[in-house]
Amino acid sequence: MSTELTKETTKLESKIKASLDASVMDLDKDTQHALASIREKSLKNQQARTGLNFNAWRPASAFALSALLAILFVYHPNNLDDALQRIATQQNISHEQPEQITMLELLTNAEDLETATDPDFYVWIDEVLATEGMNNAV
Amino acid sequence: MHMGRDFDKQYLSMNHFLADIEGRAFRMAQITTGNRDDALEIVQDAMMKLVQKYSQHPPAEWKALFYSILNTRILDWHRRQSVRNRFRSWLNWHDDEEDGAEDALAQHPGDKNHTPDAKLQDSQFMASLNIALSALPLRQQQVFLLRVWEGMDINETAALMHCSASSVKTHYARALEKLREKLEDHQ
Repeated sequence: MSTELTKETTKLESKIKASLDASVMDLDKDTQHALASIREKSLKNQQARTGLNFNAWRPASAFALSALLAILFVYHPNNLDDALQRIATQQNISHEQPEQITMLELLTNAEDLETATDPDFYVWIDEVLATEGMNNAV
Repeated sequence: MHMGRDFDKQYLSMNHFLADIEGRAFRMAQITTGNRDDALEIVQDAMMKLVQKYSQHPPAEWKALFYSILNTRILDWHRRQSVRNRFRSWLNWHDDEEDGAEDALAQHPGDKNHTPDAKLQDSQFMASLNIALSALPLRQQQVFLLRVWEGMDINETAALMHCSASSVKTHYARALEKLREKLEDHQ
């Protein structure tokens, strides 16, 4: 009984589906044209949107602009001069202050800490620096 | 159980998809509205929205998205219509209502080109089917058409109609029962 009903149901469903499909095939020309023109109109909108879609390029444009600004800022001629000047100044400082640097090296080196606490060491280092000063003056 | 239209059919382009679906979408809208122009307007709205909002989605999703939009548009039409009908009945503009329903059936394409007996029977079945489908409550009608005509399974239909799988089963069973009763003479 149940199988019979299922068969009948399937038959009815098939018949309904076939009938609905046939109704689409039998659509009158005017309706078919109307549907085709609706489709065309919708797709035209899509093309217009794709062509004018600036939003998609927004992140890339922002990145490119910021990269350009960064390059201009870093490699600007004035900045280049400043940077060279800064390097030159640093080099001058290192030439002008050899004593401080030597002392700093000694203090940061743990092995030489014993030497650094010996008063004779300071007498010796004064002599060495004085000799260096005379050589530099020449 | 269902004679499946291939739901996972691959579409090469949006144009290909819309060309494949437009006729069925129109008929679904026409069955509900009983009016050619309203049906065309609903299909146009659904196509426009699909193209504008979802054309970037994978083609495999287009069908579900399209039918979801179409069903929403049909539902909107129903709401507007029921407000209009309430207003009309309030103003006692009731006279042309029944004629209108007759007209909707009369303009159905199945009524044309009928000479041989088989063709006549087909067109009679189509006319009866039209009446029976139009008489179904909207949810039953939508579930039935999506399941039988589009070959969607219960879960796909439930997701598309924003309801549970058991609701889909209930709507479908009721729709089938009513159609069986009304189309009894043609079986």
